[in-house]
Formats: sequence, structure tokens, C-alpha cells
Amino acid sequence: MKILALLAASIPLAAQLQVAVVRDSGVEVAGASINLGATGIGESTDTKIRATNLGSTTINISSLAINGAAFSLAQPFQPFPLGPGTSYEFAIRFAPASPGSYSAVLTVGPFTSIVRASAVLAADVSLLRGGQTILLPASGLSVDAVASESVTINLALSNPHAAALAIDPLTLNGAGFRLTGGAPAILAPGESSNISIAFSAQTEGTFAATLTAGARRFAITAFVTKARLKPPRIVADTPVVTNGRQVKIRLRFEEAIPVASAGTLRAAFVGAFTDPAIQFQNGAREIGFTVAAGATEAQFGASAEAVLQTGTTNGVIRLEATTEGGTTSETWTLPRAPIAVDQAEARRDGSNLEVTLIGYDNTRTAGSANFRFFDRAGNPIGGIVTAQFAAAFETHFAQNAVGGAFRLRAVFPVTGDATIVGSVLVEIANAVGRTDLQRINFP
Amino acid sequence: MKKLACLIAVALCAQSPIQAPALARVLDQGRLTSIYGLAGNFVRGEDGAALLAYSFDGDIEWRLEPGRVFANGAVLAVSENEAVFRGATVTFPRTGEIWRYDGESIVRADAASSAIAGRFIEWRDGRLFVTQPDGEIEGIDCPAEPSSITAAGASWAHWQGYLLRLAKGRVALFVLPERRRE
Repeated sequence: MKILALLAASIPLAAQLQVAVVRDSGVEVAGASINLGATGIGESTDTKIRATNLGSTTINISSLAINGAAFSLAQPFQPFPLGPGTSYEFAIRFAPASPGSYSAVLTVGPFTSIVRASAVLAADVSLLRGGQTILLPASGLSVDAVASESVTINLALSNPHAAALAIDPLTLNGAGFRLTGGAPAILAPGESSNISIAFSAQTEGTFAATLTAGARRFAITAFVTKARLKPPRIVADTPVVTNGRQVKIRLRFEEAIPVASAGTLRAAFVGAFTDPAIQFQNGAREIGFTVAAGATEAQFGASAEAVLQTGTTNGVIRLEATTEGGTTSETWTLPRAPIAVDQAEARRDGSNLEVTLIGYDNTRTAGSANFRFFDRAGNPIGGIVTAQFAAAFETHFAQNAVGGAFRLRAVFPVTGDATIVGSVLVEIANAVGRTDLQRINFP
Repeated sequence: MKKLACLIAVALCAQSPIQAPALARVLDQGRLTSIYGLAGNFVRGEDGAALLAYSFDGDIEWRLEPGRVFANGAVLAVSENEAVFRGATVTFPRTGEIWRYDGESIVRADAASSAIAGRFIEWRDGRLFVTQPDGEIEGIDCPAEPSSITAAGASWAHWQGYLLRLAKGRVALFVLPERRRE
């Protein structure tokens, strides 16, 4: 009588706890027995079980166990309350070491069921790589891949058993995975057969597939990361880069970029002096670029070219194009050079003659200038007039942040008729050498 | 009797004989900005006055401020937000009115000049053609059609992001680096 009373008390709880097997094909409510099917020897198969409280009161799950050879719980168990309408999922693991039929008792609180499974001979799966054959564990194979790039996985299916082994059906299920090679339906003892699996994915993430070869089920997981853009080649519009110009720079990639990407182009300048003129079109020494999917050249905003001013100071410009895949660099040496004059003008201002030079001294060592005047017939007037500008240049370079650029204005008071002066020759020197200008005519 | 010219050694000016080359003046994001350096190696000066429109061709400096327009020292009261400066003339697009600087004041005019710093600039089929005062035409590649060109100096024209060198025989297009504003 006492036993009957206890049974009666447990019925309501058992009735409100539903246990189900969660398979790829769907959820199947468990009854007195659960059949897990066949598993290859040496494999480990996890089957997901879901316990749901269908009642209106909490069930305390104080026991959860599976007792039987080759069976175990995939995770350790701790007692827990299962509230009304809630579910708890766990996995039971079947890892047989020898062929045959297996059974175990599954206990989930008040629920019990007989779990049955069988172990059959199954093929070994090995990875073929670099001439080596690596036997893979039952847990499966993980591979790393890059988005939009194809990966080929070469496997060998082998029969290590004394009896012939069926590996039919041979299937592969999983998004992005494709079986590219077949295998015979039966492997004789000791026989192997190679298969190839191609994998590609356009996006980052984790992709899983199951390879089934007869009784053997084998998990393959691909971890896909974003394509790492290899650094580009830096291509300037001139083979020799000098001061005083705007260099157009393109960044070219060896092959079309599979996915849109981005990077940075930097210009570092090392010289004896600073030079604010050295800058990209964005006014900085660093400019971002993007690369569209399928493109082989970078874009700087709407332009395919970055424009870099090379400044007016000798030194070294080091360009670095950086992508997440690395950095390429290009070094331009801007050597010390004689003064460069971009613009030279001569004019009369009343009884004065005025000569203006606009140029740059990339050494900032300019000192003297020689002026020789000629009449309208080309005959020299007087001797060479030498002017010392060293102190004025020094003051200018110290006070004006324009690199080595300067505007020199020399005024020559004239006694007599200044209109007979027709032209002037100018020489200007710095520490590197002398610059002779073409004859400048007075208008 | 042969005229004589006797040169005295270089005179020291009141101002330093060596200065930063001031190439152009442009209106950049509404602020008057001097451009120093050399062609293709530009260095921006500090932000200047806030203006609505600006032009400087080496002779005439036009400025449009709220309520008035200046040409060198002359002032005209206007209620315009836009102005197109060409040579000695200004056109107000809103009304179509044309005014001219006559050297002393700003007076009504019938026709607007089309010269920019004394040259005529035309864009055609991806090229810019600059007609010099002597009629010589120089062409350079310029894939995108410029908009709102203004004179920026005696030999410079400016539009957003570019400076065009106008000097005869040396017409060239340069990128004007942006101002880095923190």
C-alpha cells in the first residue's frame, strides 16, 4: 500500500515533464525507449535531449543520468529547478569501442527511458596534407578559411578492420561545402580511398558540415575570417621624385580584391628641418583609401590618385601603404640641391630697378647673389653687383613656416637713365652650388 | 649724348628682402585664406575674414560681405549672398544686376566681363583652355568641369580643391590641399 501511494504521488510530476530527442530532422517526444541508431566504432556521437515542464508548478530536477556502457552525459549535471513552461537541454554521448548493441537507462528527474544504440565498423578519416596522412580524431576536423577564397580539404577514407566496410552512402551536408571526389561503395580490409571537399564562403563566420561515409559520421567545421588585404604596390607618376612638385600616387594590387577593404597611406618625412608643405591633398601626411570588391586599385575618396606635395626641404620621404594584411613602403630621397627658381621677374619702379626671384633652397644655406645688368643692345653695364642675403635668408627661414620657399626682392637705385637697362643676369648660390638664371628682361 | 645709368649696390628695403612667397588668396569654407609657397607646394596661411564671395586678380580685390560689396576701397550696399566677380565687374545672380568698378567707385554696368585674372578660361571635353591676353591659347587636362572659378592672384585661378596657374607658357593645374581643421 505504501509503495502504491508513492507511485501515485510521482505520476503527476512525470506527466508534466516532457522529454524529447532533438534531431536534425525534428523533435521527437521520448517514450519508454530511445533509439540512437548506429555509430561507428571509435566515434563519439552526442544526441541532444530536451526536458520541458508542461505543468504549472516547478519540478526540481535532482537527478539526471545515463547509466550504461559507452554512454555518458556530454556535460556535468547540477540539480536545478525547472519552472513551468521552461525547457532544459543536455546531450548524451555514445562512444563505443567495439561493435555490438548497447543500451543504457536515461533518468531525468521523474522520467526514465531505455536508450539503445549500436556500434558498427566504420572507416577511419585521415587528412592528406603536404605528403602526410594524418589520422583525424572522432571529434572531427576544423579548418581556417578566408572569406571569398576557396579551400580544398583532401581526406582519405580507410578500412582498418579485418572485414570489408561499406562507405555508402557517401554524402556531405553543410552550407559552403561540396564533395568533389567520389569513393567506392565498399572498402576492402586495409584499403583506402581519397576524397576531396571544396569549401568557400562569402562572409565571415563558422560553417559546419557532416561527412557521412556508411556508418561513419564526421564533423567538419570551417572558421571563416575576413579576407586580409595584402598591401599594394606604390606607384608614383614619376620615376625620380624631387622637391617642389606634386606627385600623383596610385596603389595597385596584384589581383582583384575579393571583398571591399580599406587602408592608410602615410608619408613620413625625415630631414634637418620641418616642412609643412609636405602633405597629401587632405592637408595631412596620412590619407585613407578604400578598395572596392573586384578592384585592383585603391580609391582616395573619389580619386584614384593621392597627391603628395614633396615640399622644399631636402630629406627622406618614406611612404607606407598599410592594409590589414601588411605594409609596403617606398622611400624617396630628396637630395641637397642648388637653389631652384620657379619665377624670376625684373621691373622698373621709378629710378629703381627691381628683381624678384621666387624659388626654394632645400638646404636653407642661401647666401649671396650676383647681378649683372645689360643695356638693350646686350652690352654689360658696370660690373657685377654682389648682394649678401645670408642673414636675411636665415631670418626668413626661422620666421616663416614655408619650408625652403622664398621670395627675394632686390632693389637697385639707379642714378642716370634707368630706361637704358634692358636685362639682368642673376646667379644665386647656396652651400651645394650656384644657380645661373636665364637672362631676365626688363619690360 | 649717351645716357648713363649708374647702379648703386643693392638697396636694403624697409621690409626684408626675403619673404614667404604669397601666391594667391582664396575663399576657403567661407574664410579668406592666403596661400604661400610655390606652385604645387602650397602652404595655407591663417584663417582670415569671413566673406560670402571673394576674388583677387592682382589689380582688383572684390569682397562680398553681408550687406555690402567692396572693390579695392570702394563700397556698394547690397543685399546679396552670391556674387560672380569677373575682371572689373560683378554680377549678382539673384537679380542679374551687373556693376563695375571704375577705379573709384562701383557703378551700374550693362555687360559683365568674362575674364579671370585677364584670361578667358573654357572647359571642353575634359580639357581646360586658357586664352592669354595676347590671344595665345594653352590647354591642359582637367577631367572634371570646374565650377565657381574665381581669380586668386595675378596668375592664379581657384575653385574648390584646385589652383590653376595662368602664367603664359606655364599653365598648370594643381591640387590645393585641404585645411586641416581640428
